[in-house]
Amino acid sequence: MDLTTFVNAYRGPLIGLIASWGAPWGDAVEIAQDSFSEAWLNREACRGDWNDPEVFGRWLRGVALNQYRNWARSRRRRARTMTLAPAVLEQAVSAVDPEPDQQLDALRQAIGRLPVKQREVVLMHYLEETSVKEVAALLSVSAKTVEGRLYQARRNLRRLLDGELSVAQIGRMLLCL
Amino acid sequence: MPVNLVSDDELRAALRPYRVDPATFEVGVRTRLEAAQRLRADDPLAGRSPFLRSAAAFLPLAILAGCKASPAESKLAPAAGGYKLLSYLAFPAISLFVLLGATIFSVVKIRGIRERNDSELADQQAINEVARQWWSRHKWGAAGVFAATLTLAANGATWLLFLSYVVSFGILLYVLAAFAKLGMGNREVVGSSCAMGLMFLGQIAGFSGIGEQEIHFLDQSLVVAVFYGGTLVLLPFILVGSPVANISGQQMGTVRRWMLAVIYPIIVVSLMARMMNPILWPATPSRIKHHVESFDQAPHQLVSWQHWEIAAQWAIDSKLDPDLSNPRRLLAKEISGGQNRFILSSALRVGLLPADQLSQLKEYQQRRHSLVDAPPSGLKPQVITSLNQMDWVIRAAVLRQDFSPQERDLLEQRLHATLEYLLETSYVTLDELLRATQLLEVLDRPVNRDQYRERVQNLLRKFHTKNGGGFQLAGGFKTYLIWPAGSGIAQTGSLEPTAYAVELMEIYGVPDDLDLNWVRSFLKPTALRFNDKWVAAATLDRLNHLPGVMPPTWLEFLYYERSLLAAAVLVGLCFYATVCSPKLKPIAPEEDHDPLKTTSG
Repeated sequence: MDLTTFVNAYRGPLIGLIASWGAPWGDAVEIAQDSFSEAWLNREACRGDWNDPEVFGRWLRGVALNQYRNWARSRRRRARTMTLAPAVLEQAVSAVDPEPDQQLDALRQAIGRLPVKQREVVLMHYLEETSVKEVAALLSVSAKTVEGRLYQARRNLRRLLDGELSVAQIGRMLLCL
Repeated sequence: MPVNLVSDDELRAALRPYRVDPATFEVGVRTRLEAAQRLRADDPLAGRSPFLRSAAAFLPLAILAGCKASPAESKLAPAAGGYKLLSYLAFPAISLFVLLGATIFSVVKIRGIRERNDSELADQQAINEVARQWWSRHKWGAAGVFAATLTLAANGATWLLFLSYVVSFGILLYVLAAFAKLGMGNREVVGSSCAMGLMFLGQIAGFSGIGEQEIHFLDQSLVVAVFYGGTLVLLPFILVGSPVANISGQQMGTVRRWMLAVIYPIIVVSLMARMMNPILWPATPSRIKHHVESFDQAPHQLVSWQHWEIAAQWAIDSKLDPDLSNPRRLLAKEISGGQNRFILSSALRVGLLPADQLSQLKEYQQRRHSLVDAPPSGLKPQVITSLNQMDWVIRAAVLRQDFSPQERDLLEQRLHATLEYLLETSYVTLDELLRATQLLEVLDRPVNRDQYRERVQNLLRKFHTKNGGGFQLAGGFKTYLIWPAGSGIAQTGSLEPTAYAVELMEIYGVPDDLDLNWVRSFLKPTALRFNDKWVAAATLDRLNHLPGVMPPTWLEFLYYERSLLAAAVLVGLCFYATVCSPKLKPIAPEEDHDPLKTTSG
């Protein structure tokens, strides 16, 4: 597996995974690039055959998690030492979508309200239409599990969009998952 | 009822704005890889854990990797507090097991290279300079480590000392193993340095007389033997060296290599055999019996007879049925000569002297009369002074059946008076107390044990001592209760009083609060015992067979031998550290490893 193949195979799900942990999209891309670089450089230290998608997926997820934690720590430190004007923050958020669509915005907000495990498979799978198998490899779960979570996520999203779910139901859903 | 789901298209559309351009993304990854590559060329530990980087600040990589210039300028400062603390914990092991040996071997190599006028001198001098700088930078820390090591060893805190080194070395091992994964390390340097550290600890353990003031069931010389054995195990790594060892210095000359390979093991194995004497040649019952039977000379006269008597009495009590013809011949010489009263007493106690030879004893009649002459009317029966010198007279008279019933009564009263006196005076000795008790048995007037039990046990407590040091073991029984206050030396236990104390415990029982493990520790077989090892072995067996006495449990054994276990663990760690270190592979910063190089999948 060369670097291009490696990046193309895991780019979408990895960015989605990092975003599901709570990193803003711009930072998620940066963290994903750092993770690819780190994982590729140290691939010899990967226990097992790193050409095996399951082995390398688990390894890449671990590297990404460490990178994310480093980023989160540094963000906390930055938050203690500097403050941004609210206008700058608003600008950073609005820069994502130049033509806001209310329906899609509602869907994005609903995705943000999904339980973590459902949110991560949605972001990983739909960001770049990555196959369920590759998502499963990165999460170290079976493809059936990913499919199940996607199904539940889509059903919950519909309920959230239709306003069928009460706050209590959302709480129970979060507790169960 | 159909389930209403959000469609795939809606989800794709919602997330489409967040997609990245694949080409741009890959360029970003490659840019990072190139930057990381440059960083790694300057610092092989870049991107490693903070702990590894922190520990590396203590480890001069130039020495470890065997290259001239240190490729990494790792600093301790960036690491967090916990990592720094761990690094500091590794510092003692680094000082003792890496830098000490590395410096000495480096100096030796420089000398060898100079003799050959080799071009590698500059490289080796550079490495030596790194070591010198290390010592200069960490001189106070290293001095503290060596001072603490010597202090702990001198004060008998060997367990703490070894535990500290085990912990420290464990951390160092983690660092070395991590370096090994990076291809950094030098098996020759690590092996020889570990051997030097073990040799240093062995020397300290040997000269400080470790474990003298603690309970141990095994001779602590074994700790020294374990350390020396560790250096032997590491010897092949030093001798074989590395096929590319000439990068860091010259290959060891063939003659020197063979000298080291032959002479060093001979010396060390001899020393180890000496230290493991109690294990290799233990005082088994058959050997004790042989010792008893072969007693045909008494080079130290009285002391030789006393020691022989203790072993012989044990052999007889253990029904080993020793052949006493040699000791009888030796006794015949004594009878025809000076007739030392103590020796006669020893011989009679063991039964060496048959009744038909008793007439040859010169002072018998005179002394017998002095014992049984009735005291003036109105006076109580008097104490027998110097009972040890009169012991043989009473035994001989009983054998010859020379005592009338009245004389036996009188003698019984005198022996009881003697016992009472001994239990009150500060000038009592345990052998006199034992003889008085035994002589009452000989007279067929056995002592009422309950009458004296409490006071005898009190006296045994007073005689027992935990003083040790100066190659004297703690846990034995003292010879005297009173010891000159101004002598400056505490009275330690002695073998003979301990043997008599054990015999007294056979009769009067073991004092409740007396920890017999101390006595076992005092009597354990040691490499420092020579002829008296038979006495110690016989007494230890007697102690272990006292009524109601339980042998030490395995848990106790492991607890009290923790120093030995720690030493073994330390040797194991050294061996593992050497084995896991790669053969010399110098870090070459200029060497271009392209991280972007693709590998066929």
